[in-house]
Amino acid sequence: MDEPSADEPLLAIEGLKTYFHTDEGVARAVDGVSYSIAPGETLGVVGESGSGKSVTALSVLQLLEMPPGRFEGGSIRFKGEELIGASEARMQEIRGDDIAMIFQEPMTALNPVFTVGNQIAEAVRLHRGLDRDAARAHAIEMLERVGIPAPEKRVDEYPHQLSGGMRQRVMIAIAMSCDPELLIADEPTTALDVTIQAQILELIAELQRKAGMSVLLITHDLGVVAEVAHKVAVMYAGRVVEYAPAAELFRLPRHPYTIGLLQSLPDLATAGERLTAIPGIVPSATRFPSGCRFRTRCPLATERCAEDVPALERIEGGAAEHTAACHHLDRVGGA
Amino acid sequence: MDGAIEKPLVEVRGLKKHFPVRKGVFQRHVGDVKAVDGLDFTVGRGETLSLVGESGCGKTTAGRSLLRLIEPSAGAAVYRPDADTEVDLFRLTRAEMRAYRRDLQIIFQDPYASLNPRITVGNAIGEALRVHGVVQDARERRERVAALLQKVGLRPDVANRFPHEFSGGQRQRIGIARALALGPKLIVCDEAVSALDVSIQAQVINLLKDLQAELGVSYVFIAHDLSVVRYISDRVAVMYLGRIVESGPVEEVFENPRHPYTQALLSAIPRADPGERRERIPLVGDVPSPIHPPPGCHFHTRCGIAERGLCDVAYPETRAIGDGGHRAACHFSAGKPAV
Amino acid sequence: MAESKRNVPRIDFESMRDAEAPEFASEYAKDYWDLVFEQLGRRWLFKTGVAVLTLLYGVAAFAPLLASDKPVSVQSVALGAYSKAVRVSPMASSALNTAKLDEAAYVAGLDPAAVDAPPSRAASVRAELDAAQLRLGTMRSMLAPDAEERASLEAFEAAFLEGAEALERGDGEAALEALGRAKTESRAIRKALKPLDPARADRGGVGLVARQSQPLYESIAAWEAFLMALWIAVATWPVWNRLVNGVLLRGNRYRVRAARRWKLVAVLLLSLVCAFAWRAHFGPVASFDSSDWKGGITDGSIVLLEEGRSTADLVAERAESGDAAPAGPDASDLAVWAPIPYGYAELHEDEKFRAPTWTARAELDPETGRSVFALASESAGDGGAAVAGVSAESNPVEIRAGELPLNHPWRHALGTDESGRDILTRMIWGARISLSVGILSAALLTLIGVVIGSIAGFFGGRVDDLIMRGIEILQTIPALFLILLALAFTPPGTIPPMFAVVIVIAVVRWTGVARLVRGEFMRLRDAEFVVAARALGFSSRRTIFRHVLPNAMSPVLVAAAFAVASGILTESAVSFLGLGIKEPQASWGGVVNESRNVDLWWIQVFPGLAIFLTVTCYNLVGDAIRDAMDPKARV
Repeated sequence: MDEPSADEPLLAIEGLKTYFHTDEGVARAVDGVSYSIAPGETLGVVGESGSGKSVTALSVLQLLEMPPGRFEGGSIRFKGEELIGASEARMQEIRGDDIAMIFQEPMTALNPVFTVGNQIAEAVRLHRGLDRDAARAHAIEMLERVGIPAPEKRVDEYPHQLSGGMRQRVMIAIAMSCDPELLIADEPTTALDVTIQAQILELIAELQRKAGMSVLLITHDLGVVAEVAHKVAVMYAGRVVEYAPAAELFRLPRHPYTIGLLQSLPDLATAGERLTAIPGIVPSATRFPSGCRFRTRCPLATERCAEDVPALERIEGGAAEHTAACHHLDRVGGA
Repeated sequence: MDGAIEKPLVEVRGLKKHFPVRKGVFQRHVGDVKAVDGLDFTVGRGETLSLVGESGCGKTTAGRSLLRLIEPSAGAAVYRPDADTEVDLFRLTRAEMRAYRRDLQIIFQDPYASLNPRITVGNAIGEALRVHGVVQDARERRERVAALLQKVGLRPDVANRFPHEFSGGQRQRIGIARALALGPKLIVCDEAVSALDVSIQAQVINLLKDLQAELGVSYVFIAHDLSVVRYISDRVAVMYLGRIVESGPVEEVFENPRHPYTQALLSAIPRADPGERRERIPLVGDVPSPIHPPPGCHFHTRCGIAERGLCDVAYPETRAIGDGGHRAACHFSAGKPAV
Repeated sequence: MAESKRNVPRIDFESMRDAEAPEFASEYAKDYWDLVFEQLGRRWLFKTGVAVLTLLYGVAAFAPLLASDKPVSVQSVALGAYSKAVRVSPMASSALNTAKLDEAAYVAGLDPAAVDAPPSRAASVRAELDAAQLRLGTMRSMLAPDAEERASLEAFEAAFLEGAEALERGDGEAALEALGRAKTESRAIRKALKPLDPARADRGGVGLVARQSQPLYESIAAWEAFLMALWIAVATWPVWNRLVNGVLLRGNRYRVRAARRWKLVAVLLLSLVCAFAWRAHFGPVASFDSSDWKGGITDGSIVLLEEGRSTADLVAERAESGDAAPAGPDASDLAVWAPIPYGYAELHEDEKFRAPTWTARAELDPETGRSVFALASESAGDGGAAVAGVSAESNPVEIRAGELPLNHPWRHALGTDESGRDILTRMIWGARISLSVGILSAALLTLIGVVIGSIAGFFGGRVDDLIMRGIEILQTIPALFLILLALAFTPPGTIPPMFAVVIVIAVVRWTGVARLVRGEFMRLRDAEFVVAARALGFSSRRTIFRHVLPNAMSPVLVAAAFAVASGILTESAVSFLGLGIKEPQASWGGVVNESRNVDLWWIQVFPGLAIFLTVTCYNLVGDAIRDAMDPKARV
């Protein structure tokens, strides 16, 4: 895996806060999240349900319902341009053209009454101004690029005629049709079977290598992240708790939550041993604990954890970009 | 496991479930979805058998047919509640079956749909005790419910709470407590941990294992996640298009897979260790339609070692590999070492 | 590989196993209804809608107290009733004539068509005696307690009774003799007990003592009292509910939840007790006083007089003061009237098609009864007769007792119809019909729909096919057309028209609810908790009634709210077309039907607004319930 050049980041999120004002109170779904993606890099964002990983991504494209959602602070810069406060017209230019997104459920993300060809062509005609024939040719080319056999035939089929894996390929074809610089993939393989998942991950990695785009991969599956990501941000309860190059994260995790997650995984290699589960449940977004939000489930927690919010700190002896947010990094057993 | 001496708890032979496909105004019968097409498997006492496979392979239908929550089309399921009794579950009338329901339970995938939202947790667990006349006295029943809640790791005082107040993992625990209420001998776990977050999933897997050790209950564990299956099961059966393609002790099947489908499936699992790179056996295409499965070996359309004239003509026999109970249905399971 | 695994830092999470204690958002368990009420409580549109509907139902329940031609309380002498009662001689003569016949001749003379004719002479005489005693009772209640004339009443009654008893014994001779005496006495009574009419004091007569009565309350039946009590209990629910929860149940949420059902029972029981108490106090409405109070007071057959005083006192007083004027309708405060002193069927022929009296157009000339507005336009030369419906006859308008002056702005606040009936009064009484039809038809159609939908959803297969095809066929025929057809073929007189409308609406409109319930059954049949119930070996009945039906009812409740609105609309449409509620009963649609002339806008606009308001409120409430029951909003 060649490390991409780390000059100016393509996307930089700084202290982003996205809150939801609900009947139960304010849900601080994203509460001070910072991460950045360099050009040509794949960033994996892992976390359990309710960690805020999807809300962060939807904030970038401003695809959230507002209200109840609201930006309460922070900034999202794409190629140096501030997206928070950008006009809806500007966002529409960016969506699809510069930043594309694929979703978990390919059936509901595709419009059932249009052929897949139409849906791919729509994006390029909108953003690139191609005429009908050129757009159709482009659609066939895109289908070929995402590995759909007999693209001249498939281009006139409707979503319901395709299998789940095929539909996700079509989704990727639509996303790739305008050569975006950033692809946001929100749980792209969760609804798919393992063998199909492997195909899709392979495809995303290959397309990325060829097109040189950046990928923001959101998933709950540590295995998926390990397969394709260069860097990983681990999120818990609306915050990033650890950020590291992928190889180092799995070898030298430092945040108790990351360690707990890895211990919770039943691994093919370690059958028989009892799994070490993290006790308790993920707190609800309206009732996050004070200080470190993981403290209620953490055996290392002290009084300090309840009072101070830990900041992301550099890890001594780790890679340059390896940071973790814990008051007790020194107490975590190292290598 | 001395399965050779002791007869298994459940022995399923030739289980089939075909769903008729009807079309048109007159509901003409135009074909069958062969969801399950001739399964043979056994579950020993205190043992975990996993049924694995991709969506549409018929594993859920198989589990529900075994409990007759779906009426099976053909086959037999010999159930031995004790050493001397034998009953074929598929031949019982509905009323006779009701008595055996106490022994056979199920845990579901979706913790949000598996509990009646209008009934308190305590009543949901206690209802079965009352209906089956296990515990008639209300106070005694409350105590039993409290004990069951404690057994699945919940505080007993949550009994008067409603399902919506619990998280997914807690609801799954409640579902387990409900299944345990009647003291079952066999529990079908239908994707019981698939919908849970990783950290919660580990809690529930541990709980299931603890309960098995304590109560000696058998599991039929239906799952698509192979790492969970590896962890929890004693034996595993890999399904593809309604049939078992490979089965055997879990170590054996995972270390020495003989069917190309099993091999591909195992190689496709993403591992949480970037340092570990292994050969991936790519599978092309999608699972064919179960209405018109391909002729011959169902897998030959996606198989890397299929031979024309053999694999697309004859469905392979299931052959034993070694004497550890490892069996595979591939023409090349013995002769031509795959890949 | 195993090497790298071992080096990964590990943390011992097992040490914190106690952390399993779940945290809950609320300190007590909220059930489904707690959540729904919580959601509803946050919606002001819902609250407004409910408040308006409560008010409307209050108007309907309390219609007799709001608008009536009977006084709430009156101190008076009923000259008319007394004059009727004093004529007891026909009873005595008739009894005597009967006694003169022999038994065989009497039986032979019976009209075979008269089913309830007394079967024997003795019974016939006894019936006459009862009728006479009723009259004697009326007279005794008005005669002064110390009046010596009472003696002749006693004598008459004793003679009559003796005659009847003698005849029963079979002693014909004695009977004839006694009845003869009674007849003589009755003539004497008629002469001696002639009432003293203050308007014609010179003719003389017996002074009658005034008493107080409550004709309006007496006209209210027990079921009306029940509904009024129920309304009060429901409308004050927020107040007493808080008290009961806080004080009686000490805020314990589990007890509050358990008490929910008992509160409903208590409210019903309390209302029932009120109804019985009402009945016990005011007596059955069978003795319902049908006298026309307003007319009687106006024409002098009912004399307003302070309780305990007699007409003789009044005459003496007047003679003393030299004032001989008759007691006029607005002579005193001795009668208390309902806020709107009209009956729903009370005619004012002189005031037909009168515009709301606060408009300039409604002004009438008291002498001629003609429209001042019409006269003005006539003199202006553009043909005053063009003002529709305004009477051109010259006829002084009669102002009855208790009514406002002719040109008072609130005399007919919403105008009058073709027969001069007050529109506001008819709307108040019409609310009873319109709102009842809405509620009852919705309840009935929901019941039918749930039963049939459940059958289709539970049995599935052929039964389901059959029912669904039936529903589809029924739905292809326009519902209103079916309703009109069914009503046109309902023989009049078989059932009250209101119930006919209710039943017909329900029988035609249940299909929507049935489809809804069937759909819910289909959805829930495969829900995991229903499969779990089957796996636990529960019977079908238990599965349906405990696990499927309660979860299928939420959309049905919403549909029911909308069905009430559509029921009200349908009733209006049907009555507007003249097939629903029959005159003189009022319903909102029926009132609109009184006129289709644009000039008579008040006849269409006000009831139309009432219909609009009610239907809108029901739709708001239905919407709010749907949102509150939305599972997405909940979990």
